[in-house]
Amino acid sequence: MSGDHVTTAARRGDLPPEQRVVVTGLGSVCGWGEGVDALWQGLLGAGTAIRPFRRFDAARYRTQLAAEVPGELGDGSIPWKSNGHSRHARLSLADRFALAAAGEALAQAELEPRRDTAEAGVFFGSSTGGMWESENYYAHLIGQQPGRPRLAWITSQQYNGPGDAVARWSGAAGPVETLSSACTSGALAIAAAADALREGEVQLAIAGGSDSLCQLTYAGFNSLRAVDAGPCLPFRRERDGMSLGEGAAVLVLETLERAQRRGARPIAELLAGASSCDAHHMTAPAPDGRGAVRAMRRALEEAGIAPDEVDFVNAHGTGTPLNDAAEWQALLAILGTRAAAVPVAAPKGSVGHLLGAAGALEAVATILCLDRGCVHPTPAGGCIDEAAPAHLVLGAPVRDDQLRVGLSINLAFGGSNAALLFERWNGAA
Amino acid sequence: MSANGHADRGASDDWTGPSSSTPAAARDGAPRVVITGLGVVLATGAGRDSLASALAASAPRLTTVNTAPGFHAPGTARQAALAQHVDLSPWLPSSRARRLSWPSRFAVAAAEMALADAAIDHRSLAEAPVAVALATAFGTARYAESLVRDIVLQGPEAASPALFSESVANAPAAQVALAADARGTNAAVTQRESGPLQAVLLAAREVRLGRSRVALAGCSEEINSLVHALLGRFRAVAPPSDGGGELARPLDRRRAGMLAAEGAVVLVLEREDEARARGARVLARIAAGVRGFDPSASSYGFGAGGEALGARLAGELARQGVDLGSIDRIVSGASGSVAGDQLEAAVLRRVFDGSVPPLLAPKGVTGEYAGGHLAAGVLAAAGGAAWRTAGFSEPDPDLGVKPHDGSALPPAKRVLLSALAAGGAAAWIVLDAA
Repeated sequence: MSGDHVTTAARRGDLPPEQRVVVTGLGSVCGWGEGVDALWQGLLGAGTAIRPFRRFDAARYRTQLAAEVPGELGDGSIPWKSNGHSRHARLSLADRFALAAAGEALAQAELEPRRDTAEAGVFFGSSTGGMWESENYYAHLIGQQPGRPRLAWITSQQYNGPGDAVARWSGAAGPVETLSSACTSGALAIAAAADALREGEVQLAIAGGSDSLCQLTYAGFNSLRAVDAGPCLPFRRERDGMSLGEGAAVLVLETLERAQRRGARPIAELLAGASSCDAHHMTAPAPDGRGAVRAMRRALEEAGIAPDEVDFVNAHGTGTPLNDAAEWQALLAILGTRAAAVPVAAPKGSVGHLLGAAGALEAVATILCLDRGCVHPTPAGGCIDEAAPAHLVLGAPVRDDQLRVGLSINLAFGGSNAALLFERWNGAA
Repeated sequence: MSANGHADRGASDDWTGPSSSTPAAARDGAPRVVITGLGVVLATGAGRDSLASALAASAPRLTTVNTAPGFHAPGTARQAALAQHVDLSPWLPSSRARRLSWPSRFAVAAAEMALADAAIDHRSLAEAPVAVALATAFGTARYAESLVRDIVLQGPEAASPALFSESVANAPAAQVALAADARGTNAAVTQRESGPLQAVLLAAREVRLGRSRVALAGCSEEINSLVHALLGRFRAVAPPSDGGGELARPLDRRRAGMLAAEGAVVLVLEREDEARARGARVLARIAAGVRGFDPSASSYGFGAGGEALGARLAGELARQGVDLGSIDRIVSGASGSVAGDQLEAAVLRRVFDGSVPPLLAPKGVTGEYAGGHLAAGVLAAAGGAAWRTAGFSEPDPDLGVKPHDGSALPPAKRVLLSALAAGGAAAWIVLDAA
């Protein structure tokens, strides 16, 4: 028991509806394809989307696997045709992923872009934006590819490209905020959206993250020898690094008051989002996980719940030796004797590490677990590390209709940590 | 950590402020956030006095960009407000600087300068989680380009881990956290020209909600040859004029683009009651913040949504209790961009309905991107003198707005800072004189 280490404040359920934040729509794009159902079926199947990929020739890299978005959407040569808007032909892959996920999320929320979203805010995370397109442009610019580089390839190069594209498409006139804090970007964006909703800056937010595979990150993480040659094995003794993925995830967030007013059905409640920094090392987490502890503790405090009430954890679980060890220490500090018993999901074993979109995709996975009463499995393989003995759900899902609170954690380059707490929507306001 | 592995409540790194579970939606009772420190590393020099002098003289400091890589198109700009000549050694030992990218160097030096300006001792920071929010538009451009170049030319095995770890957009924020032992929220805001103001608003929220006692907020930017050349190819930067110069001309009829700038500006934010209690000198108070978006913008340009942006600004200021009539100074984000300044003017016309307060446009001196405009806004709120807009000489009749002529003005009581971004984002901050 460690609830005595957290000072709980007023429960979210005790707050007025205009200060409560609910999720009314979800969307995703990942190695399993387009759509939340594709993600969920992929996760439930306990297989992995981490495999050889087409985006670029990986023969000279240390490793050759990634969870690439399949089909037309992941093919950078196909112009985006949505809405018949000519400017969309200039969108980056990351922009297109973001638009696909946002379209799905708004549809689930029964919101019509432009008609219903004019006052919305957009909060997005991306670690590289249109870097893939920039690499292509640059290779032409320095004469390593035949033909002239065309500016049209990089008109949406910036980090803010995906969030801006979603705002432009949806006609959002509220705040548009892009955060690029590496692997916590998506979670930080969701937390920022929650703040804006609670402070009354917006009543509706489109929040998420998007990133595409590119050579810079693939070569960069390989240069750090942080990539596993096989699909990553979070919390396993044999783990040897991460696996890269790509895609986007989007949550439609709104105040409970707004959702009720328009008769929308919430999927879950976002109880809290909190973050911290290790201030320890540029690329390695603090070994005792103290930064992650601060983020989780603050999220619990803001949510007004005790650690005992956390029913499962969606871990950052990259599969790197240092991350998983530090994350386990953090879970131990927060959950105490329950740490080895609380079910843990590690979706990166299935969809890889989506970097700036990871926090958003894992938030979607967490909400799906709550909504469907089931902790999804992590692909099996190897043995649980005795030094980080998380109760990783392996091979088959754990069904539990009583799941109520899920905790999603992310840790990042630069020591950034983020924690999001979601509660299943029980229909009572 | 205690023996059982639980974090000890009350340990130095576990400070938690007042619970934020009662959000500050009701702003009446929320603590006020003030600026108590200002760190400046810009082409005009280190420290706020150097910036104030340059603004007073209406004199940008231009440097010729390295064009040797051959990226620059004919007829495009060759000059920028570069800051790598600035001596950072008083704030950043050269032994440490060598391992950092330029944006990280600028950011760490500006943060140290800001903390010293606020008279905050490093040793006090671990007990009060410090939030860091730094904006960037282009990230650590030189490192990222080097990495991609090595990959393209030599293959992926040539990728340097040192370059990669400093190539991420949040490297400057992370390096500031390492230097200042800042354990609160750490965020890199990447929203182009609106980023610096958005970073300040994010950090102010962390302080206002009691999550951090101190926050470091601002911007760090690097302009390398590639970024500069691409800005030229997009016709965003002012090309050589007939006279051979490359002046940015904010709000001028002949404006043809902005001046690209690098460097860093970092503010120290605190709760006003705590700052007063420790006897801190308060530079300005954050009275309001507004953000919006113009969906009519293209991904790389400005839109025509001045009416809607203006309506949002006016509406949000009213919601936050700011009377438009109380604003007596504008520090404009006008940069010399043809379309950007047009949008800026349309917003101001919509909000102030023909009676725009005295308008200062610092980007003729500070340039765009490095946060100089933010620093100029703080100076204006802190009693700084009005200045003449560098590069401006001929009003544009289509704008209906022109900058102040440089004559003496009484100290500002309430300053509106504006920042409209290519791509559509917008942010405004209202600063009150302390």
